[in-house]
Amino acid sequence: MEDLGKLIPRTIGDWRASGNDQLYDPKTIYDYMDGGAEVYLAFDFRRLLARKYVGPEEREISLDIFDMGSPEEAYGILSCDREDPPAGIGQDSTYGFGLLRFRQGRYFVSVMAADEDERAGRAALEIGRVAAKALGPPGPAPDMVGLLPGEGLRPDRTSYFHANVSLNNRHFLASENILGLDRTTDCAFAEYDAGSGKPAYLLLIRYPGAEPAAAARRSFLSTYAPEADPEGLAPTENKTWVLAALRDRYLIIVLESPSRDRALELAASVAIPAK
Amino acid sequence: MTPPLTRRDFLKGTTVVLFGASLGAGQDVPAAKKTRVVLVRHRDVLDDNSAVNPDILQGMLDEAVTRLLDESDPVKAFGKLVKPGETVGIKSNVWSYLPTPRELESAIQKRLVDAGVAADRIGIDDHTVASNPLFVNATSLINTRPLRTHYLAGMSGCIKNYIMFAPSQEALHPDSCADLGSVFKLPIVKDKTRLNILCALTPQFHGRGPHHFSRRYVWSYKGLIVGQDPVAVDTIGLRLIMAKRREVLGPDGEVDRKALGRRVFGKRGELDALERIVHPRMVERVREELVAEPGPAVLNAALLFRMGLDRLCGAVLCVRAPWWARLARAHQRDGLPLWQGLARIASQRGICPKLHGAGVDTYYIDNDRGVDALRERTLRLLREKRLEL
Repeated sequence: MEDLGKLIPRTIGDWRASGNDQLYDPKTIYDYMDGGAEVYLAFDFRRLLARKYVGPEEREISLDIFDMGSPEEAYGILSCDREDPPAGIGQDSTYGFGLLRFRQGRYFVSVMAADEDERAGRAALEIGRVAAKALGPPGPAPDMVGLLPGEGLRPDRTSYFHANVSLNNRHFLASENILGLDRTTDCAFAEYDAGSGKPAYLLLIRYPGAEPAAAARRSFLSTYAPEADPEGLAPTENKTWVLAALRDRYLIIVLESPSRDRALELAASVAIPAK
Repeated sequence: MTPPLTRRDFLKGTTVVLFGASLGAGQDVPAAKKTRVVLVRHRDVLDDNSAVNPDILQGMLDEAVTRLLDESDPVKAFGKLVKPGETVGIKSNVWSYLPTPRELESAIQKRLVDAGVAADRIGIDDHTVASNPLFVNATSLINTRPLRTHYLAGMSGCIKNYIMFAPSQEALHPDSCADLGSVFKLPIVKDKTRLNILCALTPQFHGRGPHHFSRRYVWSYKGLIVGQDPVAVDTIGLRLIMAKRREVLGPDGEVDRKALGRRVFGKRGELDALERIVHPRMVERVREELVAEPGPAVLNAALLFRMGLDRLCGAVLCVRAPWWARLARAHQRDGLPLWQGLARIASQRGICPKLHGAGVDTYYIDNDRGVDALRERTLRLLREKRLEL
């Protein structure tokens, strides 16, 4: 990461790096991030390079480059918190209100102008462009995302993660970890246009084996949908349907489906690989 | 064992019952003791650049503490909290984006000295309180920090401010920091907190990005929330944040366009700030769309000229309506009362130029008789001018 810092110019346009680059690892990231560190530690976070640029009127832009260990993990951390339109920088970039986020290879990058205005926003984008060039070749998205049904999928609302904290930040399910999620589980969470104005959700979880997947389904149904029928289907209080289906070591959960048939259709469309 | 709380419990509306059951199960719960929380606001405590006026802030703190403790004099009020000879730690907060204002720390410090505490036995600290000798030996603590949202805990208030006293902060993060209250049982803290001051001068009601911060989601509330019970103080702070979120954000955390409209229309400065942010991005987006989909295109933009989008057009149709029709439509469509409708019309003055633009052919269509008449007039004009859609 120190070498990476050398590859990114310390002066970009009117903006100059202020002070030395700061490096953080999984033990020290708490010193830098208040409240958000757990979200990164729920992935394979390795190291963070943090640099401040100071520009006109002493305005500040933060450049944070996270080494997430692999392109899949970089995709994951980016996918859990995206809400802005694309910016065309690096991979899967989003930009809005002074905050640029993208991934490139195994890196996740955030460029933030805390006091956003047009000039600082342009500078944040330029710093991002320059940084992206120093980060090497692009990398693939997680294979789990490719298993999701394509029809009606909202790609910009699709996320990949491992842990319960990420699921609950994305879509609160329960106050306890009723699905047994941890670093050994891979999850894809997706939104689907349901035709009713409100989306249906699909949560696909891959467990290390078929037995923990079956145990997680039992736990989910007993806690979340005890009235479910043998197929794992149940109507919920807001006139939608929930479904929990098991296929080998994959657990498929459909939430907020507008109908029973749509829930079954979504679950059946997941492209589970042959053994 | 209490069952976990699920999303469906919220849908059923049984949350309160569950919480009540979990608190009361197998215990004799004593009747709740009432506690007082004081909220003080002053419109001049911040200037236009959010700089704090220290004298006004001192006055706000004094008013809050005297009201809290039913005293007429702030020094006597602080004298009820601490005694001469004590060692007092002020647990502050140094988060770089929104720290406890130094002026507030100074105001607290001044009143502690006035109450007889020696200046060299007053400490101010955040990250190193657990090992700071002054805090380790403190007989009293004052708890102060800004009010804001927090990625994991939902909100950061006076309870969350004590996490730095814990031997392991990570251990308190699971389940949305549900166990934070246990910090108040640690020997370094237990029974020592005399006052909780939640700084609501510029609270933060939403966050985004790795640092969960954007100045967009900070507003000038100009208040202090003060009490002796951190739960009660944080409860008021949480209500304040929730009220602001309801005002500005929709149910999905998206911008509530109606609320945004109420905030900016009729307020030139606010509207200018919003337009400076969104217009360049919108123009850039339109350019991208035009490149991606070559061929005839229609831009439907009320602020076409103000945004400079006319420079991308081959011709402009300017649809006009009399002010009374616009007022009626604003009421019918958006439920705007008369004064807000007038303010919106005033803010839209000049969006349709009276003179033809220099670089583009501009045609005017009157829209005073409903949709069918507008459609007919538009089609007629397109035929007459041989404009292609």
